[in-house]
Amino acid sequence: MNETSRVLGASTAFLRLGWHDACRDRIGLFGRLLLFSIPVVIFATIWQATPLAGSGHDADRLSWYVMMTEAIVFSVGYVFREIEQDINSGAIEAALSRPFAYVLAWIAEEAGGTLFRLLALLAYGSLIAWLATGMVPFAWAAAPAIVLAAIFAAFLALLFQVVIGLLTAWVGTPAPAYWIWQKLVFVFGGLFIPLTLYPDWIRDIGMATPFAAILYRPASLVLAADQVAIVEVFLWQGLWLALALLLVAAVAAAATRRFLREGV
Amino acid sequence: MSAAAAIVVENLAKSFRVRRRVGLSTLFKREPATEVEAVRGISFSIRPGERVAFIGPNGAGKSTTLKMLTGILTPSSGHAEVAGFVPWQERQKLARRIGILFGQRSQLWYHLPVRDSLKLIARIYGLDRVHAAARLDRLAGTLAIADLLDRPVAQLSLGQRLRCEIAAALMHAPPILLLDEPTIGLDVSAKASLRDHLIQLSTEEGTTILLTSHDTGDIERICERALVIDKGLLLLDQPLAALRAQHLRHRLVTLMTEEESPALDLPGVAVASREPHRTSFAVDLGLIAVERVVATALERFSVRDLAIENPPLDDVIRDIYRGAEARVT
Repeated sequence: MNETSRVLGASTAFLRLGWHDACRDRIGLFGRLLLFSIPVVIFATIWQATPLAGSGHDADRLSWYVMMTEAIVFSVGYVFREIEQDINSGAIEAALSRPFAYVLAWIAEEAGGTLFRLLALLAYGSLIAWLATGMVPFAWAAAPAIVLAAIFAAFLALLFQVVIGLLTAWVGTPAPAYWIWQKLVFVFGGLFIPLTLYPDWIRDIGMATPFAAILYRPASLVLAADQVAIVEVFLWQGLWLALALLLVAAVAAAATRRFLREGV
Repeated sequence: MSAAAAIVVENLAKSFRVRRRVGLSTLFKREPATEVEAVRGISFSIRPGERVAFIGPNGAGKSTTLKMLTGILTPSSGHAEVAGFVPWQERQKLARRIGILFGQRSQLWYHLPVRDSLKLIARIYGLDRVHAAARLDRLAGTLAIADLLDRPVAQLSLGQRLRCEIAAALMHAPPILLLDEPTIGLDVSAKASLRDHLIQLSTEEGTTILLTSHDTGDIERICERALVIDKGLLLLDQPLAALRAQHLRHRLVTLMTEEESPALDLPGVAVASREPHRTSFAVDLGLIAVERVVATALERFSVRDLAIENPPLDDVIRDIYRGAEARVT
C-alpha cells in the first residue's frame, strides 16, 4: 500500500467513524433538532411580522435564509474542546507517535459527524421552512449547489475550530477565543439577517471576512440561486477554504514544534 | 555506533525551561525561567530482541527518555537512533517500527468496541484487510482478548483494557516495543497475566522491549537487563543477574521449626522477623556462607521446612541509590 492510499484509507476510516458516531448519537441529534427549531420558528414569525416593503426581500425567503444559517451553525460540533482535552490531558502524545497527522484525524472524524448532522438538519429544516412558508424559494436544479455550499461552509467553520483548539498549546484554555470567534461569525456572518440588510460599511467588512463565506454566502443562495451567484459563492468559499487549510497547517506545525521542544 | 543495535543512545540530554506562574505579581512581571535538567547525558544501546528495564524513582528522567526515543520530544543535546531512525527527525517513519504503550493513557477509542479500535489502528498503519484480520486473530489468541473484541473499551476492566492496549501497540508487528508503566494500577493476577503475555510475544516475535516501571515484579519477570537512572543520570547498566550478584549482599533464610523461637548466634546472622515457630534470618554473605547457616540450623533445631530467598529488587535498587549517593558525596 503506497503512502497516498494509506493516508486516504485512514482519513476515510476517520470520516466514517465520525459519521457513524453522529448516527448513533440519537439523543444528541434530537436535542439539536429541537434547539434548531426554536430560532428557525421564531425568526420565521418575526420576519412575517416585519414590514419589508422596499427592502428587496420577502419574509418567506428570509425564513429559509435563517433555516440555512442555523443548520450550518448547529451542524458543527465542538472539536476545539476535543483538541483542548487531548493537549491538556497529554493524550496527544499517543496520537503524535502514530504515523498519521493528529490534526488530519480530527478534521476527518469531525467532517464525518458534521456532514451527517448537516444533512439531517437541512432535511428537517427544509420541512419546517416549507410548512411555515408553503413555498420552496429556489429551483430544484439549484438544490445540489445549495447543499454543497452548506457543506463547504460547515467544513470551513470546522477548520477554524481546529485552529482555535490548537491554540491550547499556547493559552491552555481556548474557550474565550472560541466565544469571540463565534460572536464574530454570528454578527459578520449574518446569522439572522442577511448582510445585504446591514448598513453599507458593516456589510462591506462582513463580506470581506470568512464569516460571510460560512453563513451569508451559502444561505444567500436561497434568496437568489442563479448561476452567477452560485459561482461567486463557490469562489469565495474556495478562497477561504484554501486560506483556512494553510492556517491549520501552519498552526499545527507550530504547535507540534512546541510540543516536541517543551513536551506536552 | 553499532548497526545491529535496535536502540542506540549517546549522551542524550534534555532540559526544560520552567517559569513560575503563581500569584498575582506574575500577571504583571515575567519571572525569570529556570533550567531543569531532566536527563543529563545518558548513553546505552539495546540489541534486537533484548528485554530491558528502565528503572528509577519519580522524576528520574525515565519517561522523558522514552518520549525522546519515540520522537515526541526533542533532546537538548546528544544523539539517538531507534530502529535506524533519529526519532525526533523521522517521527512518522519511526512510528511504523515501534509500538508504544503509555500505561496511564489509552490509545483506544473508549466508545468503540475493541475490534473497531484495532481495525482503525490497522488502517492508520496501512495494513490491508487480510493482514489486519490475521494479525488481530493472532493477537487475540496470544493476549486472550478474543472475548473482549466486541465490547466497548469503556466497559473493560483495567487489566482487560491494558491487554487490548498492547494489542493496539502491536497491530503493525513492530520490532521494538516501548512500555511506560505497563502494569500500573493492575491487581496481582492481572499483572502476572500481562507479564506472561509480554514474554510470550517477545519470545515468539523477537520483539525488543524497553520498559519503565516502578514495579520490581515487571522487571524481574520480563527483563534480562536493567538500566538504573536517577536525577537524569544513568547509574547502572547491567544484566539483571549481575545486578543481583553485585548488590545482593543478603539472603533471607526462613525456618519453620518445632522450637518456638530458635536463636542462631553466628557472625553475620540477624533475626529479620519472628513469629512462633517461624523465624526469618538475614544473612550477610560477606561474613558467612548461607550453606553454613542452613547446616547449623539443621544441626541445632528440628526444622520442618526452610526457605532461602533473595531480597526484593526494591531493596537492591535502594542499595544502588545509596551507593551512588555515597559516591557523589
